Amino acid sequence: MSFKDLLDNGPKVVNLGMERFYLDLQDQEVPAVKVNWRPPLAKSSLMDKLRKLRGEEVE
Amino acid sequence: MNSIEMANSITFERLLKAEPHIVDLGMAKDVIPDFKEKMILHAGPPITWDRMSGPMIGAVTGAILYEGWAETPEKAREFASKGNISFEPCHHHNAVGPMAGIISPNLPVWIIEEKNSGKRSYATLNEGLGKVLRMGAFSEEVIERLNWMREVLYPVLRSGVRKFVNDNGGLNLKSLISQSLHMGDELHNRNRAATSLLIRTLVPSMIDAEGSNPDLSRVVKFVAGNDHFFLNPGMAAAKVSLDSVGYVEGSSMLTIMARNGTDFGIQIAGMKNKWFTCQAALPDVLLFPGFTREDVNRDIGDSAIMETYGLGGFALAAAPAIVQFVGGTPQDAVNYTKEMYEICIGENKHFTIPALNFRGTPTGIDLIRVVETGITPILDTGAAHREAGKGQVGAGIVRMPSEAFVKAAEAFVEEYSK
Repeated sequence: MSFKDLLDNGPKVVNLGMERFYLDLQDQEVPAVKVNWRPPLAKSSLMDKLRKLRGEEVE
Repeated sequence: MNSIEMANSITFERLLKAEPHIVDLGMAKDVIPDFKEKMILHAGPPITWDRMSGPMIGAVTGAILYEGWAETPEKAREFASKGNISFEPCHHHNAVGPMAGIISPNLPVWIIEEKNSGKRSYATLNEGLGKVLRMGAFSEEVIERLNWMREVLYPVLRSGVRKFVNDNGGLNLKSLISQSLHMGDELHNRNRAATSLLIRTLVPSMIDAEGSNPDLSRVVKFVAGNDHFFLNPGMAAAKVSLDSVGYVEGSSMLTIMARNGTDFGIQIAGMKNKWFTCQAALPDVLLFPGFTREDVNRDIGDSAIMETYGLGGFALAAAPAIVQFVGGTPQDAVNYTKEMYEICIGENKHFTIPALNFRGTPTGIDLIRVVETGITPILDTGAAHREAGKGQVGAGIVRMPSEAFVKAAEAFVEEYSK
C-alpha cells in the first residue's frame, strides 16, 4: 500500500494481542480484524525444551 | 507421532471410553475410602486452617456445627484452630465438591462408578443457591436444611436410586450429559436440563420404592426447585472418568484443575498425583444486586473438573442462555468454546454442540499447548463472598492463572528429559 493509498482509503488494521486497541478502533468505526494471539507463557528456553521433547528440531 | 502425542492419544481415548454411572448413595464416612473420624474434605489442592479463605472457614464452621463437634460458630472455629480436624482435599479420596467442597463424615454422598475400571467417585447432594454450606454460610437455616437432607431427602432418593439400579444396572450419566448439551446446558453453571432429565429418570423408581411415603412429594419438590441439583453427580462423573485414565507415562493431559479459595492447582496424567499450584484467580464476575467487586473471594471449588472433562466453560457454545447469568453475549459463548479447541488434545464424539454443527466439545487439556499458546483454560463459575457466612455474590467467566501451568511444564521437562 502506498502512502497516498493510505491517505485516500484509510488504514487496514490487523490487531494482534491487546484487545483494547481493537475495541477502540471499533468504537471509532475503523474496520479492523482481531487475531487471537497471546505470547507463550514460558521463557524461550523452556519452550525449546518442550519442543525438543516433542521431537521438533530446535535451533 | 512422537512419544508425547502417543501418550496423549492413550489418555484421550481412555477418557472418551469412560462410562460413569450412578450406582448408589451412602454416608460419606461409610463409603469414601480412608475417611477418618474428625476428618473434613475440602475443594482444591491441600491447605491448612491458617491459610483458608473466608468461605472455606465458613463452610468448615458449618460442617463442625452440623456434625455436633461444637455448639457455636466461635467454638467451632476454636475447635478447628486447635488442630482437632484432619483437613484433606476431596481429590485425595476420589471425591469432588463444588465451591468450598466440604465433605464431613455424616453428609450423604452420590456414588458414581466407571463401568470399565470399576473405579468409584463421590459427591454430596446439592443444597441449592444462596446461603448454603458450599458458599461458606453456616447459619441455622443452613444446618437445618442439611439435617433435612440427611433425614428425609437422602433415604427417599437412595430408595429410588437403588430401585432404578436394581432394574437397569446403573444410571448412565454419560448419556444424560450428552442429551443435556443438546438442551442448552454446559453442565457447570447451567444444569437445568440435566436436573430435569435426572428427575424424569428417577421419579418413577422413587414412586415404586416410596409411593406411600408422605415425604416423597417434598423430596421431588426440593429437587425440582434446584436447577443445580445435577452439578454434584455431574462433577463426580467427570472425576471418575478422569480417574479412569490413570498414570500414563509421557502424557501432558490435565487430569485435575481445582481451587480452594486461596490456591489453584492442577495435576497431569504423566506426573503421578503431583500438585502444581499458584494463587487462585480473582473472578471478575456478574454480581448479584447489593454486592461489589471488593466482596468477591478468590476462585474456589472442585467444579473445574467439569472443564477438565471438556464441559462447563469449554462447552459454553451449547448454552447460549447462560450469558444471562454469567454475562456476555451468545457469540462470546461460541468464541470461548472455539478458543478452548486451541489447547485441547481432541473433540469428544459423545458430547456434541448443536450450534457448532454438532462438533464435539474441546476435550483433554494439553499442558504443552497451554504454555505454547498462552491460552489458559476458562471456567464458567460461581463466586463466593470473601467473608465467612455471607454466601454467593455472583457468577461469571474466570480465566485460570498461568503460573501453575508454567511450574508443571518445568517439572514435566525435568521428568522426561532424563
